[in-house]
Amino acid sequence: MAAEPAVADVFFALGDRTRLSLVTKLGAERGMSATALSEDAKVTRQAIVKHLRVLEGAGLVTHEKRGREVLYVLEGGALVEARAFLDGISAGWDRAIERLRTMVEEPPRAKRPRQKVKVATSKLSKRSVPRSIP
Amino acid sequence: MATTDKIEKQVTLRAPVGRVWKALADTEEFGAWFGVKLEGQFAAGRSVRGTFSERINEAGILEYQKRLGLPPSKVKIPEPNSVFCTVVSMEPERYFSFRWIPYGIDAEADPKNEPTTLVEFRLENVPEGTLLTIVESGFDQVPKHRRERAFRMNEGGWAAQAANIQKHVDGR
Repeated sequence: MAAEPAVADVFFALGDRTRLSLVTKLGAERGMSATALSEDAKVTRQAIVKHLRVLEGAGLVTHEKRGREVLYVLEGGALVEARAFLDGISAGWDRAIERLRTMVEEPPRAKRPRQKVKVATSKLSKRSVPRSIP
Repeated sequence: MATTDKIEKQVTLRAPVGRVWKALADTEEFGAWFGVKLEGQFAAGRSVRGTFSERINEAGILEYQKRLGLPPSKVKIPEPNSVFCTVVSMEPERYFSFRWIPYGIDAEADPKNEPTTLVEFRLENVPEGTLLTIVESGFDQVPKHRRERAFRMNEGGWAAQAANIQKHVDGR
């Protein structure tokens, strides 16, 4: 199972609203600067750069220098692997149990607990453990 | 390496025992979370037939097997309406068990001669709701060429995965 921590890094990186939106943006447009990515974001450019570093650490994003600009590019491979992983475990008990949990633990919570990220307007829940597959 | 004969899973569900029991004992509810459409109801001694209702991504499964270091094996979905499991015992709100062919979607499984594993569900009332213990045992009887695959595929990797994520989130 040596490769599993790498997949865990991918899920961790995706388990954040800001980072997920960065992935969406980078999926739509190849090569964007941190400035462009922070244009309509609710957080500062500096925070965006931090998030990009987390994505890069998980292998989801790479960066390339173009002139004075640094452009961030989505690496599809990591996403494909994460998807294969989820599909692969769908036959196992752990996945079945999570679906059972979703079914019996009603009503479903409206908002999933977010992980702790230092954001000025944070109203984040103290709970930090994801309960089901993102 | 822990035991190779059984898989044990324990989870606390925030729902009363009666609710969890219904999700297990009612074939329609069981099928909804398990991903199989079952015929009729569970009763001790009864073989319940079913049809797999879930889309199965073979490429994903082969990739996962490769990742686990297992010899990959193609997927073969059982014929519609074939025996899904044979119920052993039912004690309302306490215990439910059946036998089935473990990881029966393996193309190398031989439905006619395949040994079964015993799947047991134990329910316990706890302050948070229900403590559910699932034990699947009898893997040592599974033919050698597919024993580890059946075990690892049913074991799933999510518990380890969740622990990894938790470690990350806790910043350790």
